[in-house]
Amino acid sequence: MSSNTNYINAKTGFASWALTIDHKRIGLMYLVSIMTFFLVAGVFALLLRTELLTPANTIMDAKRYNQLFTLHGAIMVFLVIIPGIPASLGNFMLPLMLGAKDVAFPRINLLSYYIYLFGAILALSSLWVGAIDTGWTFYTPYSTTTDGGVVLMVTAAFVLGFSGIFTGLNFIVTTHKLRAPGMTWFRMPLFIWGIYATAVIQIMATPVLAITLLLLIIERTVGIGIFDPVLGGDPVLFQHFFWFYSHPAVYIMILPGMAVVSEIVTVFSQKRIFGYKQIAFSSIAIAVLSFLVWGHHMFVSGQSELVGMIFSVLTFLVAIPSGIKIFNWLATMYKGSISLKTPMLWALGFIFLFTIGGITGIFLGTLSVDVHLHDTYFVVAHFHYVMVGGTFMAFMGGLFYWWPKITGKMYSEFWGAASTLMVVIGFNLTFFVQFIMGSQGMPRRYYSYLDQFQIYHQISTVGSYILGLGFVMAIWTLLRALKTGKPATKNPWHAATLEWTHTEVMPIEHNFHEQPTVNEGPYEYH
Amino acid sequence: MDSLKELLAMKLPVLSFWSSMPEAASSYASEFDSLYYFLLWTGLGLFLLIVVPMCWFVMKYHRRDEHQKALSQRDYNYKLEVAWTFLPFIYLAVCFFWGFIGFLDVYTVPVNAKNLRVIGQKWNWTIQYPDEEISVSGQGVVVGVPVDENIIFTMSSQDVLHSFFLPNFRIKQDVLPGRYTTLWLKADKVGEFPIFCAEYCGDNHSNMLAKLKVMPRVEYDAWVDGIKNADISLSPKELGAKLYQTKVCVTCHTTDGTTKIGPSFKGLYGSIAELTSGKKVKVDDSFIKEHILTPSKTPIKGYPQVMPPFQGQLSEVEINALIEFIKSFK
Repeated sequence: MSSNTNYINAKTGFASWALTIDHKRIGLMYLVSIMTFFLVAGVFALLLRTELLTPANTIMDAKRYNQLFTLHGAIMVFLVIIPGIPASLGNFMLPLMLGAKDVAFPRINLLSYYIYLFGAILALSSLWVGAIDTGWTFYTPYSTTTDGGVVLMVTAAFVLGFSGIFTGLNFIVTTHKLRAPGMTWFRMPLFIWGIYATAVIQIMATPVLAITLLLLIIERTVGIGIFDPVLGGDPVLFQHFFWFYSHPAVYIMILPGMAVVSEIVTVFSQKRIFGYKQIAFSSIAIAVLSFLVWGHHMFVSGQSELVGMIFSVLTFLVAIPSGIKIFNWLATMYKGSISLKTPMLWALGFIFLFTIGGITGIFLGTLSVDVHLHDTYFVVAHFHYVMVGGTFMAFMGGLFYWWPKITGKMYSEFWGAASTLMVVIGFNLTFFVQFIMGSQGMPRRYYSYLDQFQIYHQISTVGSYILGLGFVMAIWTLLRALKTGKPATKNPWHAATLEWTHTEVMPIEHNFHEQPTVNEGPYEYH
Repeated sequence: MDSLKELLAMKLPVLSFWSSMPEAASSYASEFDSLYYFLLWTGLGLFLLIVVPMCWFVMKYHRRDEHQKALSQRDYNYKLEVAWTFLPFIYLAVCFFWGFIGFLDVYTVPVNAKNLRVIGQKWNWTIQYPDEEISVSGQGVVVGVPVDENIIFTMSSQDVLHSFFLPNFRIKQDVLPGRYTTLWLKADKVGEFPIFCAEYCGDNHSNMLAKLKVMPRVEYDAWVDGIKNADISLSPKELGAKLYQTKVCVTCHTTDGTTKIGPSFKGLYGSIAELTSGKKVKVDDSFIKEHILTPSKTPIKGYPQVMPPFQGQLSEVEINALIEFIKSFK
């Protein structure tokens, strides 16, 4: 058997990709799609920041601004971060890490990609009808009364939900049924635990979103009063429904990020992960608690004070498993042999930024403090620290970590490190000042603002340019490696998980030449 | 608007100490700040507790040659796991209770209080004073209140969600259509403080501003009298010009012949308008009145149907004034 065949060169031609049921190719197709939408929505963000250089009309009017922040949010949430790590890296790595030939339902896997693509096309076609200006949260009754392609965009989110459900279902069954002989639950890499917990949330929470969005569509098209008080509905009901999904969705976004970091920290410290079971069970705890905290988005919405109190308590509880993970990562580094290669830099950046995101989350979970900070830039900053500083840093870390396995090439360490640094600096410039603005009362989603906020907005805008450049550099570093990168070895990081130890430089079509068997944990560094 | 922004600028700190909160204008706001700074400093401590060891480990255990092994493979410590699972409970419990106490203060409405009614509407606030029998309205409207008295705002929305946000009092409450919500404050400082709409409500969301003017009682009474007398002494056209601003007709209608969202007032009176049904009507006094009160009954071709109804919001005197105002742009 030639060692030169791999999943890329095994078959060629358009159909070999379009009709592939290889989880690795599907993962790659997801990766390309997700990164494309990331760049599009990233450019929207830069346009928004440019508009905010002055409180007056800098480059666009208020209507256009409102449409752009809606699109930025909707694309980033529904097309980039939610599918993000699970659909791309998860799809590629989960069977490899479990020692399986593929996911449990390869055809459903392909179907979920096409549903994703269809949803994406629907979302973009809403631009044709008229860009929507509701914010990505679609709050009623604004969303049921404004112009634009609200129905199309909401339908897109509805369709995209099914893609997530199928992927989640696939991962759960694969994890249960296709583990290699000897791979017990506690010998699974922590990445699998994280992706598994994510999949559980995805299949349980997404149907609620689907129902909510369907009700919204019915109200807009047929005029049945569900949320709009003019028709006898209740607008706060929409918020309950929406956040019942969208808060768990926040954990759909962050759990895979934590899962990637768990892998990187142990491999680049060459030390067994500290508190394996604590990290694994904290993922499950987060998954369970994530369903019980939605009301913390609504402390000032008019819900009862008792309900607010209960949600505040539950919100604080969810902070604990997140803290457990961070402390265990630190303990893993203690007395390790720490290598500062690019993936580890992204992971350290994750810990740095996610900690700030987590601590500011305590501010927002504290009832009276949230009353002041709700709907200000403080929330915007917190959310971005968690979603970009957290999830997206981990996503980039995972890409740099697995890039040699995915492409068979090593990238430039120099440019990898430089891009990480750019992103961390740019990110903090962009978003740290937003905490200050927010605490001083600058409301979010404001096209114009009072003059005294201008200096903060300008710092933030400059930061966003650096941040954007950093991401472009990172992606460029990865792409350049395809052409000019040195050939990778089978296991350049000396990792101990199956995707590194039992595969070729690039995995073959069916992953392994023979079925691997497992007789020790995933982090035994000899 | 510019003068409003200048005034507000004085009340919010400009690039002062990085964590400083806006000026506290009530005793609640001062209590709030104690909690906020507690969270800020303990949060900073927590941050250092994580980041300092992280950097320390990176330096101390940095891999110096390729074959360097970890110094230990220890992967579990019962006491540590218990510590970082349960110690945070104590800290978080303190945060919770402190925040909960403040939250009760915000939502426990006092018994003896002056009642004001707040109506949110795209994109301005109307404040009704039932005791004084006045109301004020418009973008950037001045909302006068007496100092050291409990004020309750009973709030509702005419259209979509809004949120009544007073940063200097650290309070905020969503304003909903179809339901009443309340907010209260007791200002202990005289001055002018910004009011923002904090819930996204469309094109002019960021201009949906007002300012709370806290005055000594005597000054407040004079302010109320001033509002009462102002409207009576104005000529119809002057009153119309004022309503044009305060009822924010100005957002959509120009007076110089250029078209914004709705038709310009220039040359409008006496012209022929075409309805979406194709029917042509003359723009006379009756038509203007009907269209102001219930615009959806006479939708005009070529314009978006976004004008809010003013039924029940304008007196006969005010409608006449608006007609005279429109009539004056020939």
